[in-house]
Amino acid sequence: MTCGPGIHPGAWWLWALGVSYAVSQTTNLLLLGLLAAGVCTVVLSCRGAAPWGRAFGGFAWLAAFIVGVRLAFHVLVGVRTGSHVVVRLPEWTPGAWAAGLRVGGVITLEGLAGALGEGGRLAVLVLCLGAANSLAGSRRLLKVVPGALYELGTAVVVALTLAPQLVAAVQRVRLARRLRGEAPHGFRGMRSVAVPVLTDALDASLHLAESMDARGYGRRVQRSTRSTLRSPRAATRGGAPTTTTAGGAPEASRRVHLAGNGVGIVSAVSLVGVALGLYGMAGASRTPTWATLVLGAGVLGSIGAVVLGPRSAATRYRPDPWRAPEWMLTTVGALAAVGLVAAVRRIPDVANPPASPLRWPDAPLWLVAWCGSVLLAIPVAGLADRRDRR
Amino acid sequence: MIRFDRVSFTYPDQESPSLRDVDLTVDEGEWCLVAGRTGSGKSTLLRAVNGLVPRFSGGVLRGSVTVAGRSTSEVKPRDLAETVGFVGQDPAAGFVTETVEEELAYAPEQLGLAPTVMRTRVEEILDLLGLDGLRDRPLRSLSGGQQQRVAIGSVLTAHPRVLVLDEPTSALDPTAAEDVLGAVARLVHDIGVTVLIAEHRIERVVHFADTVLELRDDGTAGKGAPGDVLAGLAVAPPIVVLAEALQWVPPPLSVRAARRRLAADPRRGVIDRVGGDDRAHAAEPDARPVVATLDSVSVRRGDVGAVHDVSLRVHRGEIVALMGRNGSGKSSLLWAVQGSLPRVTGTVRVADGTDRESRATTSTVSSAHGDVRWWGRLLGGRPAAGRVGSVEGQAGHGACTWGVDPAALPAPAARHLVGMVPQTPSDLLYHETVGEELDTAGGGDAGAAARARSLLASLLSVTIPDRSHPRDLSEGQRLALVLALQLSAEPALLLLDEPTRGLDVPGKADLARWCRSEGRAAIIATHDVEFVADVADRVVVLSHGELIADGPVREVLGSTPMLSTQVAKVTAPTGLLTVREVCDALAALIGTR
Amino acid sequence: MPDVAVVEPSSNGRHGSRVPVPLPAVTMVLVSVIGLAAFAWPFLVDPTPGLGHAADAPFVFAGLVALVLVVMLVETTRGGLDAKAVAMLAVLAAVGAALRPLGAGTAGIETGLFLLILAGRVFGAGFGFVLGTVTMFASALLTAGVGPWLPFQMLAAGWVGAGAGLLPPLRGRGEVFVLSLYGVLGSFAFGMLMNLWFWPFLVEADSGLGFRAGAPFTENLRRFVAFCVTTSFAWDTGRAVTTVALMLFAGERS
Repeated sequence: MTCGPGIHPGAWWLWALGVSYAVSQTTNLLLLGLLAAGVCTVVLSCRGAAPWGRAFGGFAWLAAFIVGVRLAFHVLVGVRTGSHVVVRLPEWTPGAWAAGLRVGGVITLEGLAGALGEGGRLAVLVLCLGAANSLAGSRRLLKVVPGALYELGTAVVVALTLAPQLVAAVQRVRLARRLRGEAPHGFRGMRSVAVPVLTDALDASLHLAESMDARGYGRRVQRSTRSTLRSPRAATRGGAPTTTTAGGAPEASRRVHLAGNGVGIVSAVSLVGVALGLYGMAGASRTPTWATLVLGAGVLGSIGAVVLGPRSAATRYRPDPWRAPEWMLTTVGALAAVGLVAAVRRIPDVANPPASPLRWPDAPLWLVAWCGSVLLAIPVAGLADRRDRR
Repeated sequence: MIRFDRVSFTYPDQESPSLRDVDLTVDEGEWCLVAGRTGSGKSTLLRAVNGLVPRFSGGVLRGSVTVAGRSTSEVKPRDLAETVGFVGQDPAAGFVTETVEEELAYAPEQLGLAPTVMRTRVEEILDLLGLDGLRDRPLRSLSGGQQQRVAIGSVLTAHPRVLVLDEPTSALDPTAAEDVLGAVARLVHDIGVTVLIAEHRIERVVHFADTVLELRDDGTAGKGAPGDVLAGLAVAPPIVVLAEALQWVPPPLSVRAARRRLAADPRRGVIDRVGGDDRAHAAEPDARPVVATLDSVSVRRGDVGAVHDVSLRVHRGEIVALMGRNGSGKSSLLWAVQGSLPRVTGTVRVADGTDRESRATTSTVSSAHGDVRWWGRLLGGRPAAGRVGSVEGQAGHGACTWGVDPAALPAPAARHLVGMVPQTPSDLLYHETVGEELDTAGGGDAGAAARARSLLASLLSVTIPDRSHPRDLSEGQRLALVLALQLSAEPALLLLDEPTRGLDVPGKADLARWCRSEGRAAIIATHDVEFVADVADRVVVLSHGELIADGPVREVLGSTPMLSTQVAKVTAPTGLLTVREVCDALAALIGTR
Repeated sequence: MPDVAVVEPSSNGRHGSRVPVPLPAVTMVLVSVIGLAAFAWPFLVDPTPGLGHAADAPFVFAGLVALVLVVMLVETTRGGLDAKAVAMLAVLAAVGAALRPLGAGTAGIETGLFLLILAGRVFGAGFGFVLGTVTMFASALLTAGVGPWLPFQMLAAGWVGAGAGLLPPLRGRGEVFVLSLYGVLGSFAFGMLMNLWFWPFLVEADSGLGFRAGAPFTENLRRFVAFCVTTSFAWDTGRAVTTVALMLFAGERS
């Protein structure tokens, strides 16, 4: 069953972000396991047939690897706490140059459980990212890059289609090299393959640039200074199918941007704010209020500068809609985050069990049910799919 | 609509201009065909229409180019998007997006059109070019003809008044070419678009064209009615050449007109009779020794079967044309014979024959010894080959009727058995100069390098300076260079994949003449019926990877209109294929009378 | 009608164009400061779990870096990128993105860095920065590997590309030498920066190689360097060696 492709990719990302925020709040293995199972179920039932749908497997391996590394680091150089000894390893302390470093020693059950919790948290986080990657179709996300980055978005789209072709070109040229009775290896061989491929690629880039330019890329359309919306009917008349207009119908349903320099100053000032805010946070165990405020203002200013900044005149063809199912999916993600934050506040010992005394991970029933709520993503995505079929 | 006023253009780093004093007027709604030899500046002229030349190419342009009253020196190409729609030679190279629908929407997006307008335009063009069924398909998965139609559609959504097409059908099989040109013709009739089109395969386009612009090698140009301009032109299509041979003035431009003309011609009866006589000769079995044998070869590419169960024999000195639609498995079959593409089933055997003897006598013994060593290892490793005879016996006697599988040999040895020129010959070139390429012809073997040099000289009328860059050569020169490199190994069998792609009519004639005189067994995959009629002894037709026809040229090319030359269509049902044959037949008959 | 001559002065050589992408100096400095702070967040905010902002930190800093990156890119491309620049960017990014998966499996034989340095050198700091970020982004989309590490990778690659464009103008052997040196520094700096970002997650706090809350800066720095040496050193060395070898090879041929 697939129910993913219909929904806006941004909604999947927000859902995954919500869930991963929830994950980041806890080291309780029971909760982590529940969330992981939920995420996996959603992925398996909602991912499409597109190539990125298979990305989840890679993320699952990465997650397992992370748990392994974390445990390995613990066994090698971890902090020794607790009394339930598992094994005593030979201990070795290097000289003064590595003060504090101690390799091996006593491995305890408490230490392993702690490492497993930390590693597990990280692993489930990675699973959430994998879910977003395999559900959202990152390429569709490119449609929602900010208008100010339209040109770079184009470059990325083209790069994405070119990269597999380059790989094919390399194979083709290697074959051609064999036709000449040569087996390319070493630097020289690499060069003999790289030169034709790169030269072709650069030639291709020129053709591509011509094709883009000849189709109007990079055009600055005269825009009226009034931010009025032209009626769609008038616009249709302007470019009615059988007439050809020489001037091009300027698109009007767009916000007017501020003058370039003004935006530049706004963004510079905002960045200064962000930097100051970070400076205020440095070293302090509790962030001072002023730093938070300045940081927040800087962030808002930067966002404003990007939104209001200069942008290409291009319009978007059939943008992905953002409607009720997208909002619902985002809410499902946020819900998980809220639940875990509440758990941290109300029952901190359950959310982040202390290393000792050692005990099995446990959680109240409401929290278990709450974690299960990530599964709501499946029916919500199904809604969007029905919408698409209509 | 388009006006060139004394336009001269010189590329940077070049002394002689590519266009010289070109005066040109193309009216609204006119279909103008640009004809000329390779390198005569056709692409340059087309690119100058919307200012890509000189804005993208660099160089100096004198004179003025105006389109719809706007001068390209003042207006940038992008601001001419609603005036001129430009489609370059390789449609795939110009694609910006991933799917058909997005690509069609690209131009309206750039023009900043409102979403509703965009939607109607895209739908309109999808219908007009018959692309509706492909709208969600990834561009890279389309066939060549479909890609070309999408490329044309992607400029049409800007509603240009002029459509400029640079060789839109050169890579297409006849059916796909008809599709594309039919779509363009519909545009001209329905919307009144002005069309400027450059094409090597003039015979495909000429009956659509209102006027022909001839670009001469010195960069000057002349324009007139198709019949007037094409007569006497080096790149004239066969039908015009036939008209010249039969002294038809003005020449007919379509098969229909030519047939009507022939019907009224007193020589009609003679030609009919000759053709009938000619056909009466039953095809004799080829007595020459077999050079290569393919036994039920099957190949898979990815998840799809590309070639199914193909069996074929090639005799010494025989030229076999491999024909079929785009994607019918021609290239796959060639690569399978060459050995780089693994076969699922079947065997390929190539006999070394006399070539090895001659190589041994021309004192480049090292490679011959190398071969023997490889054979020894090969036979030792494969007892099944035992029926073929002993190694010593084979090495001693030049002529052998058994064969070696090229796939089982390492690359340096395989190329003495099978020489291949792939679809993009430039893949084989990677040095800075032609001289270096030639010197490394045989991997440091001086004999091979010398052979490559003399081959190249015999292939080309003009010598290429050693220090010129391989990428600056013309298509024909590059093909000759690669051919020389591959033939320096003296392979028993030559494989050519679409060799005529970038060649004009004289270039193709050169290649055909050379193939015939060389006397080497060859398999040539091509769409070019005229070239096949000129060069091949036998034609093999593939469809969806299956061999559907295998027979002498006359039989196969005469059997279906899609695989028929223009002359054959005109003189049907005589079975005469080329102008030369018609002339020979006439001359012979006149002689006997 | 008088003759009109159109000469394109910007076109030189086969591919005919310099790609003018000016690097906005003020923004670059500010973004670099913020970026460095974000990379060095373990030194800035206590990353010990269970305390303060430790849990939010990865989200906050990844978001912050993404934001300042966007600002930087908007400022860099403010003049609008012409079709040639976009096409060149796309081709080089495609090459880089196609090369990256190859490097991951073969002990740091990474050729992408060489490409980036060369492009930054040839086309200038602004183009280098944009190319670095676009390459990383395209590569992440290609492998469906988008995550909080992506903004950091993009910024680090952008630095490497921009830095190559800012090196002093030299010719001949001097240039090859400086670029090689830069390649070595870049390789290790890139590796260490990327380590820095996930270091507190992967290694237990207070352990021998992990972060230690409240310890002096030098102490933590030593721990971090020890971590780098024991883990990613081989990879970074491989990358450095590849880059230098390619640089010398290219220098010899040109």
